[in-house]
Amino acid sequence: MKVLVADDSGVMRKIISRSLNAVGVTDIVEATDGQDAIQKFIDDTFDMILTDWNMPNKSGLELVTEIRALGSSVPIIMITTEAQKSQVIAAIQAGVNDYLTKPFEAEDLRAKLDKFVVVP
Amino acid sequence: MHSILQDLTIEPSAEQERILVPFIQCTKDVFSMMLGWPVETVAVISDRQGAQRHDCSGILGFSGALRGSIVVSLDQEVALAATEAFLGERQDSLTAEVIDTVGELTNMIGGSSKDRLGVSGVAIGLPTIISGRNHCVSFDPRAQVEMIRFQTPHGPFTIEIAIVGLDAIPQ
Repeated sequence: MKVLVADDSGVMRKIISRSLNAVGVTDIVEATDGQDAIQKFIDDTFDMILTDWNMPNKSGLELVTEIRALGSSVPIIMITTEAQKSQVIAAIQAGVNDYLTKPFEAEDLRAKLDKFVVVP
Repeated sequence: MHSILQDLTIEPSAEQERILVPFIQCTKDVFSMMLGWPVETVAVISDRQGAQRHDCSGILGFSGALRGSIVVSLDQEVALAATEAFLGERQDSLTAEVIDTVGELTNMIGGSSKDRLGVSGVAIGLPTIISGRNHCVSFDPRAQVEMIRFQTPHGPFTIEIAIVGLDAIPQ
């Protein structure tokens, strides 16, 4: 299983990658913003995407919209501080499969990953 | 008075309480959930602009229905301990990882507090970090500034909230 992690914060990418490792995922590609993420998505094949919302160059919402416009149904989890109901609805309408608000406990992220991670 | 303010020696006005409660609650949540640290609120000081000196500060701006900023400031030792709690790796100085940690803490505190203020149409920017011993941060003179001093097991830190247009926050 190959996972794309998009976040402009290096520490968040490490925390998310560590959680992925804990559920058996080791094939992880990191993107430092939405533009970097869409380029890596086009150049490669992923089984799941974890993305922040507020990123430079291209937001997580724009990233999700572009991925869905490309016809992909890859599972996408948005991990963000944006927690207002209107924003959650906007993310879901754009094509997000699940949503986790920061701050979160390690178990919260683990529970989200368990829903989508398939490790042979 | 909200129970989260009961340990303080001040009697906050209703206007102060509307600002302080969400920011204190969110700060405690972020440190507890992301670092595993209990955080105690030590003091609230109003309108002491530029009086505080720190080693590392994260600044996050608000725009839209509410304008202003939040500044999360830590001394170097607290920032290093926070990074170690975040990443499990000890840093010796204000490295990129430490700067990134302060930025992410600022982002989480500001972002989640913004939603608890009960004002729709408020956007946050990307955090900016200032590092350098004994720097201070100044605010728009029109802003109401509240400084909250916290204590962690690894030392103190402060958040300063500067908001213009408090009328937008519901009573």
